Amino acid sequence: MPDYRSTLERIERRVPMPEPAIERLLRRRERKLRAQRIATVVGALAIAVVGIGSALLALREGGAMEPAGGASSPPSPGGDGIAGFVLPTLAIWIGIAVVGLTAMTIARLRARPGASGAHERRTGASPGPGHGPATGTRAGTEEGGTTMDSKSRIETTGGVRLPDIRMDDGRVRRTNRWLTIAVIVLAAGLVALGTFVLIDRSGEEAAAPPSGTGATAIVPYTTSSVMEAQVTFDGTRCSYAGPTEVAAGTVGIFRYTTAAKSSGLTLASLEPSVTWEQVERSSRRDPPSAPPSWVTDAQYIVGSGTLRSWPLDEGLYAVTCATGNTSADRMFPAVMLRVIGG
Amino acid sequence: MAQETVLAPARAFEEFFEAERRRLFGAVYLMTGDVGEAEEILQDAFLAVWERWDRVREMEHADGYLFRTAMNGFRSRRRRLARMTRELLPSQTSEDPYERADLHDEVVRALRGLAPRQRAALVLTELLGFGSSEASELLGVRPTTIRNLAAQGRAALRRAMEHDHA
Repeated sequence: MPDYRSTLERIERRVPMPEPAIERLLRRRERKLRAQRIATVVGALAIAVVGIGSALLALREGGAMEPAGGASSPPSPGGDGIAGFVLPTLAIWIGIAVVGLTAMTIARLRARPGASGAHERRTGASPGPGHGPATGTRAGTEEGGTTMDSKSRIETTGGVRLPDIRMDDGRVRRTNRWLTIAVIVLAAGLVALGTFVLIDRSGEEAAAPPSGTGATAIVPYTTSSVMEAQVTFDGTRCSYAGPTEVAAGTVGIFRYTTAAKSSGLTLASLEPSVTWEQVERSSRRDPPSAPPSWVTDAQYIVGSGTLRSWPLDEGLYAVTCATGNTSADRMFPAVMLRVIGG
Repeated sequence: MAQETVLAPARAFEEFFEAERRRLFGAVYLMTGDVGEAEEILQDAFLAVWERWDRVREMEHADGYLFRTAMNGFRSRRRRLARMTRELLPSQTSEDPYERADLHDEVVRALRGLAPRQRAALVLTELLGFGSSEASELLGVRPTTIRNLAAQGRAALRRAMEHDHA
């Protein structure tokens, strides 16, 4: 049976290991630490830029909202809505957290042992009593197998200078854990801040007037008053009790009472030039044909005792009672109602 | 006395390093076939042990932990290399100063002809003396896979050794 082991050993013995191995190991460790430090600085700066930028954005959004369309209403100190209260507070706390975290990261980085250890090994200087332990961490992040938990002190053992390995008493890991939590909280704060900013902006956009109109805002329909009217129809005469001239925006409440079967109340919108005579003439046609061309719109209710409210826009209206069915319709005008613009 | 207590871990680690480095380097070199890669895997493994030296030194088989770490490094490097090869084809091959001399040897050529997993299985079971279950844990495969891979490696090696003797 072939001796595989000795064959393999023969092959591997032929390849010398690069020397001095321990020095090369130390140099690799320093390279790794340097890369970690650079990554930490870049990460801390990125967090700081994003955090402070978000804080400034939030303060601007929350503290100085301009009225839409440039109308001159005084800005409220905290802006409007929930964002006006939340954003500045959040921004201040995030700003404090970012500054504190960045300062802590930089302070811990400055205490890293790598550079000084390399220098002492090159110069051969023995460590002074003040060469205290330094913690090795990255800003709040732990990756298995890459964080050096050892603390350095240069010693000489058998002609090779080897950084002393201090046992990890758990403080470094605890600090890292808290830093990690701080970063997570900060990230959550940023997400919340972004959400509030987005919600706030979408609210503003929804309320903004059309661009280029110069209007300050969309004017909604407002009710200036309520008008009540009673319309009574006895089968031959349609009577109206109520105002004949009202302001635009008025809501008219029409109560219709009738003794006639198959009758209803019609509120017809007329062209502005139509006269009462035209309305009466039109109603005398028996039966009326198609609605006159000057009737632009019509609303109606049917049946005695009914109640209906209609918003009245500016214009001219005819209040009319109507009877019959499709073969024998008859119109009984009661009054012309004028709605005057505001 | 206190000074010695403080310095002891460093000395212990250095002794551990000196005791294991040659054996680990040889094994990883046989697996990778590349001196530079073998050294990097070895250094990463020793640095990982160094970071946890307070716990590793208490282990019954600290060398087992070291080899396991090295095997993890070997596997992750293989995966990364495979991904890079796919992304960056045609790949650039680095010149290994030892490779040219080794290629005169039929056995080395046979070893190079094996797949990395076959080489790893062969080295773990034959050179380092791990059982198939231990080796399977180290390589993250099933014991039967290790036995198959090692058998294939042994067959290739046997053919090369017979050719050398002939």
